[in-house]
Amino acid sequence: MEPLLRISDLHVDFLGYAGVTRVLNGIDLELFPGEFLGLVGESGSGKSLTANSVLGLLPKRSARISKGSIMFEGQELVGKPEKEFQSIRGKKISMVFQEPMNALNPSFKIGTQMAEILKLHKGLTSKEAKVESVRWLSRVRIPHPERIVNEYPFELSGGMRQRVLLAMALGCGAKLLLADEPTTALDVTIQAQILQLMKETADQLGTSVLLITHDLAVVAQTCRRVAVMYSGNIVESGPVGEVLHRPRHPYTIALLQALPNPDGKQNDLRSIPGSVPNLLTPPSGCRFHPRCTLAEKKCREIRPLLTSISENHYVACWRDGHHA
Amino acid sequence: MLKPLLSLRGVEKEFLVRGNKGSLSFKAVNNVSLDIFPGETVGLVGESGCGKSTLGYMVLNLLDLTNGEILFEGQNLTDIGKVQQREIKSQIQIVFQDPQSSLNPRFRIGQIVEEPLRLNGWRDKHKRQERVRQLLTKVGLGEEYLGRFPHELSGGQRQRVAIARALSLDPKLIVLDEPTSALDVSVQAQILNLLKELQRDLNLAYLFISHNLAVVRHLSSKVAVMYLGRIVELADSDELFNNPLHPYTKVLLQSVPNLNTEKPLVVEFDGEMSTRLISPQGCSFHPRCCYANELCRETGTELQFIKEGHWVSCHDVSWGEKSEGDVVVAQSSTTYPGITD
Amino acid sequence: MVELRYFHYFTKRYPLTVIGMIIISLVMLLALAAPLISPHNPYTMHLVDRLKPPNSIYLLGTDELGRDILSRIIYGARLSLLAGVGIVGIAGIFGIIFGSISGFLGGKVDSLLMRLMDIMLAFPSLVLALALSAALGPNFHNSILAVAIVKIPVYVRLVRGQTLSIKERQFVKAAQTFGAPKAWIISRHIIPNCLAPVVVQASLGIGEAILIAAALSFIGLGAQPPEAEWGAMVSMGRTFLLDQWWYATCPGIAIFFTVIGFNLLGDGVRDMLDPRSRN
Repeated sequence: MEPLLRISDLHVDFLGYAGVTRVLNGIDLELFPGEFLGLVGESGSGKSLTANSVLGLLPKRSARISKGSIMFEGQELVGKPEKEFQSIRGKKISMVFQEPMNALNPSFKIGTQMAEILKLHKGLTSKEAKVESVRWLSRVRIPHPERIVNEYPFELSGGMRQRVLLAMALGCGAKLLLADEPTTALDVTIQAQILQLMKETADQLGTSVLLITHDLAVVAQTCRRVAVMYSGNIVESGPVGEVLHRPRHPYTIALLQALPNPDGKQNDLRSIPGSVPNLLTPPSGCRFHPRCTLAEKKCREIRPLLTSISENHYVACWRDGHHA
Repeated sequence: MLKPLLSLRGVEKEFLVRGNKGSLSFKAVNNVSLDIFPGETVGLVGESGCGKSTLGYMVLNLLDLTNGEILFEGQNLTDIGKVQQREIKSQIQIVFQDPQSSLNPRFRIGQIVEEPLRLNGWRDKHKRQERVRQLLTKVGLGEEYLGRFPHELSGGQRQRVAIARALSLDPKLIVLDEPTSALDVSVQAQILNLLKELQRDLNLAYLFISHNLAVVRHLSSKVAVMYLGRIVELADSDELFNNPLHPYTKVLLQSVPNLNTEKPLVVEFDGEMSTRLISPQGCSFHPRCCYANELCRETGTELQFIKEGHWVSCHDVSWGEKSEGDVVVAQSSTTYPGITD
Repeated sequence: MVELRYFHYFTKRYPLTVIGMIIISLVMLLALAAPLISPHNPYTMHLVDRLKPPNSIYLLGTDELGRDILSRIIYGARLSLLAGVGIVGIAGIFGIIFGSISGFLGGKVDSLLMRLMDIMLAFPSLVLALALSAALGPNFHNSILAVAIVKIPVYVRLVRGQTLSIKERQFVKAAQTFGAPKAWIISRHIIPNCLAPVVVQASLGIGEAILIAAALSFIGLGAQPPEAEWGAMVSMGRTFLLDQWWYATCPGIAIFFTVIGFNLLGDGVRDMLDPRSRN
């Protein structure tokens, strides 16, 4: 099967007066149709940037894609002129963000905003768009959608707004949904509802979802595959069960050990020594090597690439795998 | 019998809100009673709007109580004179959630940690600075941090500074208001370990407020679950997580994602915590509770003793024990049309 | 050399601000070095050479009393700068003090002060400045005081708004938990964090302040003869506009450039301090 989205060797640089910062250092990622893929990383890992790159949303003056390609449905997205992106955003690839209030215009009613999108991307008339909006709102399980259509964003709770955004993102038949920390700002019970909703709706519509989060547990419960990012690179990827229960990359292992176990108690958590590298002067070779207890000479010199260690399970570490 | 360090008795906080139809009073904290013993960690969990932060602020005397009383080492905070009040205030300190806004961006780290000392009678500059160095070492920061500004430090380092500052007056109780929620997982682990170590060394009591159940469980000996201003369940940590009795606690525990990939999240409840200013009559949870009956809709509930180390505020806890397995099937107050069309 | 690179980057990013800075530096130079640069004494009357057009001795001509216009313009820079800085300085200081106290204490104190500020703001600024100036007596220093008083409410409101949001921040609450008295909190925690918008407002306000001070002198309520003040010169020059147009025009141009310089600088300062433009 051909992947819906294929990112190859993506490098993104940020330009500032102090120098060039390489924030994405060779990302390789594949997402298949109808798949739920988790992209996990801590702050500074570059996970949001990856999603923004796909949609061409990097700041024009200060960022540039210096190398690599992003193929969507066989089309190259890197270097695409802005005009052509307009027909992709919202229609073929949608995005949902952490803060729903930032994506909704506080001055317009929910119904108006939804209708606007439906008219733009699906070419519906005002009347049709209105009906379709209500249908979509009920699809995301918003109670009394006929009433909500006439309300303003500030009248809704966080969970409700996120549902509206989901409706807007999926309502135009997008094939790919990029969800950037969609539930981080929500309460845990609401989070559970939203995640379940995303999963079900995506399954029914056959939409692929790239779920970006820092929460490994969320990924464990919703995704089929996961990719772990550290400082601009993907260090491990594979089926969720494999990566979370049989992790191979030292960073993944350390991350899992740092999580308090909700089932048990009470031993001291293992924390990762050191801190996230300064990207102006990143470490040579493998960017994790200064914090890695297993680092060797080779790790300091050459960056390891993702290699397969078992069915679909890839690791970027010199400990595993043989490179050409 | 060990005497409690901090006692909350019937504590309430009412806010007056002006709406179009005149003012409404709304109870952010409703009849809360809780004891914290020296050296123990009490976890306070709940979702946004449940009143846990408001309660924390009242413990610190940053907010006045509308009703009830707070006793520290047996003394009522409002009864005593100003001087004594000050002394007691220094015994209860706080570490906030957002390391970014809990430190004055214009102060250097040394000044930040020194400030409580300056305001509380430490006149000798050298002695103060010596203490500051001691405190920073205790939280794992070297001398080189004294002259730096908060924006030069990472989130984890800032939180350490906040902890050092909280320790400066030798408090007996520290209120931790979501201390690790804004931090990365690896940094969170460092801070939690530090908090544990400090508790052991200094016999500190903690009131740990958080929405993250795994973190709370890791640190707390006792946990209180709050919903709409009330404590709905209070139990020893293990007991609460292994044997939750209140329907809301069960819903909460069910919603927490865990690393078990074999058991995907099963969510069968809907609705949200009511933020309407008019609390529902009767038990505050009944609109979302699948076990609700007439009694629940009419009469409010109180915390009742169930067994040693476990109190629940529910009319019929035996209902809770009847539930099947881990799945709580709750109704939503509305029905939604079928998804397939 | 990070400094040089920064300078380069700065010029590329804020070209207009750099122009503003250049203009202001020029004006400041004129003001500071007036005795050295000025070709003549601004008060000396050369009655023989009255109302002469620009020539080699008097580069911008002479006025009706034979005084060199160029020298008077150079010395005039001192007064205008004094006006600009003095006005926003006084208004700013009062604004910071009253705004922070009022915002932090709230209650009756706050209400009272705000009503007073509302009353002041209800008057058109020029009219109020006129009235105050006349009441205090026509005099350059009094005119500065008058305009400063008129501008105080702007700064009070600004600082009060800032105070209201800062006092909710966690580091203020933290200070309260270890017993910090109100004066301490206001002076050490609130005021230092209010300064950024005040600086922006002040930089944007200097231009306007200079204009109003010049306007008052123009009407005759500010600088009195024989003071070499730009506004007063424009006023005097009106009479001779048809034949000796340079008399009124040159000081007018001086005012124009100075005000533009400060406005460009002010815009730049605002852009730089805007938290959103931080990368």
